[in-house]
Amino acid sequence: MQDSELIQRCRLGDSLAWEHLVEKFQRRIFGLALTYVHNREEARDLAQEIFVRVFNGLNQFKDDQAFVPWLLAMGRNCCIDRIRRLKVRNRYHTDMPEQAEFADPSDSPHDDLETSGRNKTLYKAIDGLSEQSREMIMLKDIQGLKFREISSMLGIPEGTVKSRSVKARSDLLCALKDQGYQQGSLT
Amino acid sequence: MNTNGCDWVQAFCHRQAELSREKQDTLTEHLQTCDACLDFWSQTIDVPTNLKVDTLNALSLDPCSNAQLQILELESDQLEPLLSEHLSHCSACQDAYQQMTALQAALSELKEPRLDELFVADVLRKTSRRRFSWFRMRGVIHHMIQRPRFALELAYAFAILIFSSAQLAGIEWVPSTGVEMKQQQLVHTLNESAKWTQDLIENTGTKSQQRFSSAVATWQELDPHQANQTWWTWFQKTLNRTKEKKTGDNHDRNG
Ligand SMILES: [Zn+2]
Ligand SMILES: [Zn+2]
Repeated sequence: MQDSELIQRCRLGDSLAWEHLVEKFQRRIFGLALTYVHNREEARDLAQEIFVRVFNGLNQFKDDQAFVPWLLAMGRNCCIDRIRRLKVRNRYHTDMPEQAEFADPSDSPHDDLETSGRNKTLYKAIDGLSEQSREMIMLKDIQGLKFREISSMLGIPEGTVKSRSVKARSDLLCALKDQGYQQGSLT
Repeated sequence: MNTNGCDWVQAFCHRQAELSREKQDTLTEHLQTCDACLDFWSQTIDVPTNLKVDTLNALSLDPCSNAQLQILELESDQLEPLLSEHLSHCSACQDAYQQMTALQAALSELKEPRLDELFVADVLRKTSRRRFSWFRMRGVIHHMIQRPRFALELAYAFAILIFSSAQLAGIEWVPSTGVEMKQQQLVHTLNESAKWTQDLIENTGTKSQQRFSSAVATWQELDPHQANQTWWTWFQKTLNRTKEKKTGDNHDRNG
């Protein structure tokens, strides 16, 4: 079923359609949340909050829009709000660690150690980037959005998106090299 | 254009100057002679990439920086013929290319990490039945509103509903306020009692006259603008005539 049809049915109160929509995008939204909070439990909770927000905001979705960029924009706003709240909380509870220890997002007994270790390193490198670069890596390279879609999501010219993406990739490669990553170890 | 080429290039790199196509040639010329500006230009990320590639191509100075810039810009496996040609004979750029594709593959794996099976159920619980009924109602309304004929249909349905319920209740449909209702009742009473009124005017019985005067006062108070309406006109004329007649009679009696 097309996304647009699925949303149309959700709006009419089709609970099965809603379930199908959550099932279809759950991992993608979880992946988005993980690039912001890094802690598996926190990211899971954040992903749920995103879905509740999407559920309440489905009527704002216009039929001529592409669904995935709309969904990711909503998720991104939710993540930014959460980070802001966390920062405020940390200001009043100084005993809390600034950043939770990195959890391996693919933490599962079935994952082979090499792959999960690599993901951990990648998240660490991404986290060391500037906010702007981190966002570019997340939207462009992880979520695979087009430059045009990122441009309209962030409200900046496409040329700027392109140059920010080039800078982000180059910074990420540098960060990985700093962590002792040799060429070929990513493959 | 600034006479100092270096200032101008830097202004452009800081996005404080525009670069037209013809000015690009001047820029290229300056970059050929000034290493400081060339470094600055190559490292400035805010310069639109196509412009940078064009300029580097025109300079033909550093095919490797050109290639590596293109590698950082890669969107798909489709390589530009020029880049592909360069990669075939430059091992450094070939390495950079492989590193980039490996990084992209690794990053795309972070797109959909594993998630426990209870996740969907948890979301569904949070968007549960009560929310769903409200959501459903909003959805249906939203769906209807989007249809162009909706306003017409709504008005039509509303009118039918009002008229049929008014008829069922035996109400004559007059859109009226409380004051208007009172007026209508009064007019009705006065019209019904036309004969009685005439008797009253002719006989001028004191008690009945008082009652009638108070009714007229109420009528005037309620709607002074309607004072020239048919019934009122007739009444005033009759009243005046009666008064004249009575005065005449008195004169006759006194005289
Ligand atoms: Zn110069
Ligand atoms: Zn090369």
